[in-house]
Amino acid sequence: MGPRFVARIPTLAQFAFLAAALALPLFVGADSYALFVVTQLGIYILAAIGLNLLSGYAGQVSLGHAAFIAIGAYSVALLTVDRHWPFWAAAVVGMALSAGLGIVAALPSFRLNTWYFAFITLAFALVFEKMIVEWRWLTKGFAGVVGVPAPSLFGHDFGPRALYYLVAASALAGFLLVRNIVRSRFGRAFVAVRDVEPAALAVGASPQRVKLLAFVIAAAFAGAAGAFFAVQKTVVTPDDFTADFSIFFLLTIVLGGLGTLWGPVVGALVFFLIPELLAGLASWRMLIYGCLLLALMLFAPHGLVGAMRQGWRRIARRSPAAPMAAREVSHPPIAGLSLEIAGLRKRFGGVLALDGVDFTAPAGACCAIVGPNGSGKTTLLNLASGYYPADAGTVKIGGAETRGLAAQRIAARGVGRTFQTPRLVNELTAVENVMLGAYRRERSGFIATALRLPSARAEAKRLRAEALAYLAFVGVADRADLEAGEAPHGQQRLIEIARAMMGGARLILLDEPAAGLSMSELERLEQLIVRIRDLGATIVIVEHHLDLVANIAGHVMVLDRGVVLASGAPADVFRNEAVMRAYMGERALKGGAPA
Amino acid sequence: MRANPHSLLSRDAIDRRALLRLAGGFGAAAGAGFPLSASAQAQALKLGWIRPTTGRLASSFAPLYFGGLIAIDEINAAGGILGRQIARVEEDDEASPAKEPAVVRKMREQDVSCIVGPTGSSQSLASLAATTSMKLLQSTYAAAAEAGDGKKYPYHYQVMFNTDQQADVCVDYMVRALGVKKIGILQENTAFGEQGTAASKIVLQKKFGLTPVSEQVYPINAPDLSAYVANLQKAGAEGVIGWIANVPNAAMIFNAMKTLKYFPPVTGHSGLMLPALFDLVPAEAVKNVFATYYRNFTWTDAEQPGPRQVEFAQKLAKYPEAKGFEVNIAAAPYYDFIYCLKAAIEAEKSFETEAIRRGLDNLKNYKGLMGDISFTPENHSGIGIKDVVLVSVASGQDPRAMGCMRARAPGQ
Amino acid sequence: MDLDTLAHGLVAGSLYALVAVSFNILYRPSNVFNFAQGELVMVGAMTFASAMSVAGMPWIVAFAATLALVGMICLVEERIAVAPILKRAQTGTAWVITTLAVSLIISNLVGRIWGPDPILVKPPEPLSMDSLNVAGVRISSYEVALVICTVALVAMVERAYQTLQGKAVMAVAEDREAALMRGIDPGRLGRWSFFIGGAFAGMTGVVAAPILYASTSLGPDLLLKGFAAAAVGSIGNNRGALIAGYIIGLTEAFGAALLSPGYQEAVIFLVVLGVLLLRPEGLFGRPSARTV
Repeated sequence: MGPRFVARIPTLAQFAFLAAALALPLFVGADSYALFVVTQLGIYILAAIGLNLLSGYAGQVSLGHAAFIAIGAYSVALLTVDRHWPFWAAAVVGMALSAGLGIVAALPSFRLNTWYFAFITLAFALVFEKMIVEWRWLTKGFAGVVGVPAPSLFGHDFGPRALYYLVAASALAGFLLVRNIVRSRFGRAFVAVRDVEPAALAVGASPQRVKLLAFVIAAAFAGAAGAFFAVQKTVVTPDDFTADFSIFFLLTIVLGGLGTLWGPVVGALVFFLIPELLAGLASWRMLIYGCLLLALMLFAPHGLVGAMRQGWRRIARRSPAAPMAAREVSHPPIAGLSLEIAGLRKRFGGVLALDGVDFTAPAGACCAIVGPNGSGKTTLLNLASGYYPADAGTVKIGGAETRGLAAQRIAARGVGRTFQTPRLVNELTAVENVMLGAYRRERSGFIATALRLPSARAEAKRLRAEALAYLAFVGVADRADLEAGEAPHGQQRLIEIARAMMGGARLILLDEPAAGLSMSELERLEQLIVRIRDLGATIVIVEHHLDLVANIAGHVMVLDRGVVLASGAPADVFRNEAVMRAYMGERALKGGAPA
Repeated sequence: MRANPHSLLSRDAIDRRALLRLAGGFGAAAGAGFPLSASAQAQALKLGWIRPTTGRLASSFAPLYFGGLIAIDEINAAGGILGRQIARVEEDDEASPAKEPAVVRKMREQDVSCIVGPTGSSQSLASLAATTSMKLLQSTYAAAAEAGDGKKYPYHYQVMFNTDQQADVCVDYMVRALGVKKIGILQENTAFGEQGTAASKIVLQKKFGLTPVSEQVYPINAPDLSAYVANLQKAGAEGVIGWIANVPNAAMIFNAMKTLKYFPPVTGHSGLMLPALFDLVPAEAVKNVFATYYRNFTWTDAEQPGPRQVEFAQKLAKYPEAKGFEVNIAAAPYYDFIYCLKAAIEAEKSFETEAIRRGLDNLKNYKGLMGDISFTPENHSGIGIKDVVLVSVASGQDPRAMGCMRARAPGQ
Repeated sequence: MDLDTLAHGLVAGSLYALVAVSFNILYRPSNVFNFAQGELVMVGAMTFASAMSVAGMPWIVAFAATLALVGMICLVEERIAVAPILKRAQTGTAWVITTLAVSLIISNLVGRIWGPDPILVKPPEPLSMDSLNVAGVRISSYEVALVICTVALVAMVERAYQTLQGKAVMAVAEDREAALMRGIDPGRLGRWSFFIGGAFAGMTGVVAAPILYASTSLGPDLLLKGFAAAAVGSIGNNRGALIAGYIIGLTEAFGAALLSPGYQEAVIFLVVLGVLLLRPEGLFGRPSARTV
């Protein structure tokens, strides 16, 4: 076996699985239990794929997924049995209602943190379970809706085999849609919101809108799964949608691998199929899964797919991709934005972090803010970029007032920033992190992206090339396809700068970019900042490294305990005695050596 | 509190079932369901056995199948049906309507054409949705009147009283014999409860021009039922008609009555005859509790139960697991259904489903344990109203009870 | 206003307050909210019921045995499901899933030990569940005792946090690193808190049993309502939990009386959701500053 063949095994396995799934009905009876079970499996996979997008990629742990499936199932059951609607119309209503509930469910996730939200969804699942029994006038109580007719098309009823193919085709379509979404700017934004919300804000992605999108997609998938559930089972009862059922779904995707494409498929196969094969174990199933879940979370947080992938990497050690030619990239000039701050004030509890600070960075200038720890430098950046609301004062960017705007809106105006500790999305590659920067610039709509229309494909290709160019610009092109979390600290900062530039930043706020850098890295950083400045961008840098500041900044402001101590050209400011005392202490004043 | 339901009746079920399932899994290709051919005559007749062995209702429902077991033992000992022994094919439905469609498919895959169970009206209606289209003969423990509709469910036979008959007896006794006009209804949130309440209201209205003072509907998995009982008390109900079919619920209701010191007369389904009742409710209160039952299993000062029924009670006494459930076992349709099946097969001399169905549809005044059983193609509710009576629950402590006998309510 | 409903609400509220306090006890040092807590309460009720009715132990012995057992289960949970997760990442929420897994394991294990039928538990002599008519309100002597004991217990727990150990717990909750530097061992405190929190949950099960029936399906309901009380009363705040417990209990009782008993959970859910959306930190907590 040649190494090329070995490298292709995962792809071949995927196609083999697909072929087996498509061929299966030819080998089992139309009325057989086996076909009944695999059809159900397909339905579970469809729902799990949606939940994986929500919980795995967007990080919203939902323990109430059964409710969304129930809405799809009950819509179809009631509309087809009582109102004699055709299946298709009823299914669309079910999906729409489910997606509507998805919007409602998303609202608490804006305000509550992950686990509060998980709890609320669990509570919702428990309440929902009771309500479908209680609302007998609608749901027919404990007995449920019986005798849901099979879907029909052009007067031809779907038999069990046709239904299986319908479900399989839907699951496949769902898989491909989610794959396309995950690999697009939406997928990058999901992961950013999940792992590093500040990064999402910095590229102008609204966490609310991202969560809402994930909820609506997941709910619509569940609604579709519910619609199939009703026709496959022919009976829809409250017992089908207990809180346990919701937990099963979360279990399924955790088992398979949260945030992996194949996770829900593998999880559902293992979770729902294996007990069918080992009938004697059926009653132990929940216990075994409880233990499995615990063990997986402790030892393999990425589930079975994650573990397989890791094992695979060990077997088929891929020859490292040829490093990208580090070609010099010329960059078009940037029209810098000015930053004008006046009378800025911020109080945290009893501490006055900023007390009436004025600061101006003219367009195209490089200005530095220095000061001892706790003097309010980072707070100033956070207020300017909208991460905290200011108590008083004005912030004007490019001449327009921005105080009170949300962080992602300020970012969208052309403000890029880096963080004291780099806020990269560790699980994405370096180039994907840079592409995330272009979140606001991408024009392809959601539909075009999900369907991978040619326009969306072309744009994605163009942006990738651009992102690689930015990586080359900051000098880390060789790491483009490695996970960002594995990059050394210094390089992570450079990737952050590339991300800011990718977003078309005209005002770049750098928060201690030199912290922890080696001498050679420091030199590269200095060159890079000078290059960006020379392109015309406005740069505001918060930095302890006074040599660096002296070399690049045309203007320096010194903060101490929330007030401006001095302001002016670096050479003048650093000679100021009050600055020396505040900043470096009495000893430094005598010794005179900058740290 | 009582025998672990998991040990009941599972004597030979698990291993064989697991094997069958494995075989079914591997040989699924062949399992498309061929009808039994004539050459298979000597093989055992497979009888589907849908019984909950797990789930919250298992302890109430699992014992109800002893009557059916006794019937199989008797028939097999006497040489089977037309020389074929009866073999049970058991599946657990967890007493959940949600499980029924899958259970029916498993049955079909094992070449079962005749099914006993499931128990519970909601479970039965869910099961019927699948068995009717697959043309599988079935008898379920479903009191809901709908289940005896031969036009809707041509393959299902209801060998027990239905909610219409029960409601008639319960309401009549409450109003006429006990003279209660302010009647409250307490029903479980199942198909049985729904139809029981609907039928009671019709009888109350049509016969006596009354409407219930309160209707309480409780979910069968509610942790506590005192709120519902308190509502009945608040509404001033002086008598309660109870559509309650499982033991834990009935126990909770009587316990709530005890803490509320509220002991109205109660009439209702045979589920009220629970063994724990005597510990929960003071003796004077039990005197007021009456349940629907079958005339053949009752005594009065003048009449005694029939000899076949006494023989059945003696056989039942040999099963220690049946203790405490004798009444509900005797009231279950399974014993009589299996004998009806035998009669129909022997009349038609065929094991073909359609022939058996013809035989059952033509069954007239078959002397069952519970009463005279007759079917027509339209009416599959086999028991006549004359065999349905109310009995005194308190008589369960009488030495004459023998487990499954009860004294008829005064004036019945 | 219906006084019976009021009494019913206070009794139920006491139980919810106790569950909420048991949540708080483990939450304080670990910042972990135990999703298996409802099942622990259930195990407490079932163990106690079995010890009383099957093993025939005297009340006090059964009580002590239950507390010890449930405390130990909770300690084991901390060791295998919580400590390793916290070791990996102090701020992660993987414990949501691991404690949920523990909940799943417990609820399925008890199904192997006990049947699905509820067990009636009699209150200790001389208390009884028979309703008394006290100034027109129907309430039993046991229920009166329960309400009084709940208030007393919460006061005791609050006092315990005034001691040196209690202050250490608060210090860990505030800032784990800083506490470590001051010579406090957060690991040891975590273990103790889980043990005590588990025992408290077990005790809640014991006192709840005569009112609710001991049943293997008690868990999810108490988890939901205990969470409601803890969240509305601000997580970690025991006095808040007590007041919120009564708020939840009364809301539930009046919701049931006005609508139907079947709407209890829905009413509570809406109240909790409403409170959390308006004040995510609960009614008795301080809003926390967002950090970048």
